[in-house]
Amino acid sequence: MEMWQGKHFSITDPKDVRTVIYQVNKTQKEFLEESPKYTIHRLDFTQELRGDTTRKTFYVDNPSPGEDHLVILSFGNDRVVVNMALLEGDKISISKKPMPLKFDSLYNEIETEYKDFQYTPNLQRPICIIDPETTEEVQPVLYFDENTNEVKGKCKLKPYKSYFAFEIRDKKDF
Amino acid sequence: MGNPEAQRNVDNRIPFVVLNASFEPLENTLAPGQKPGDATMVEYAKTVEKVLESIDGKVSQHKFMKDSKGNYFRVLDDGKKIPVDKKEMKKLIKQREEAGLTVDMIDESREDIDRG
Repeated sequence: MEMWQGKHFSITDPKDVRTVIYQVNKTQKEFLEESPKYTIHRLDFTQELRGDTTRKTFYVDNPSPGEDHLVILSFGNDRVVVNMALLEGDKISISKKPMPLKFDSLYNEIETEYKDFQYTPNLQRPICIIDPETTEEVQPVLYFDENTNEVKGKCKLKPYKSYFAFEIRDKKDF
Repeated sequence: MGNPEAQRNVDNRIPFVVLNASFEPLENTLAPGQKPGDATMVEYAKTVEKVLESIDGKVSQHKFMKDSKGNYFRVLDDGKKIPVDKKEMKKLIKQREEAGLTVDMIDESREDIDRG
């Protein structure tokens, strides 16, 4: 009987670099009405310190039968290195097909500790916001606006701090 | 950033330098009507072999296991068990079942194959 098999691979982060990896999933046709065309899933990982470097093992627990596109984000001091990778069979390689990535910088001119930024997630356009210092995702909190009778979202962002946001879309959708 | 960029209307409000695989800065030019700090399209330009040095290249497989307490683990080839978040696992099981994929895993309590 065929068992569920996941895949895993390792990367080495140099000093002051933290890498996170997302698996890009294409939604099946029958679910496209209620879901976006592409969704992303952040890969779980374990890590091992080796002197100044960190060896990270990433787990693709739900690999596709064919190939999987991965987005590799390496956050360093004031920079992010963006790589695309292809996971196919027992091999991982950098993709030779460019995949356009759009990113935003968010800023506020009023100096406050934190500002609630109105961001109601559009389920058809999932945008991932990452704090580059912690590499954690900034998740919007949903609330019900009684004035407008709508479900809205907000997330806490620090002014004058840069965040990294990205979404996966088809080139023809731009 | 030098003078050529100034003529090209480069978006330099974004403090992150996005590098392509050859570790050279990508050109980040503002479209007409955009102001500094606005979103710009960054296209992954090219690939070079040396980026692969940071990736081990070897992909291994792992199975899954559920213990008697209902906890889930990844089981590596060397027998090492890596815990998996229960909530995440249940989400994955649901996705795979909807896609018609197997969710068979090792059941530690029965030492047998069991459905998650």
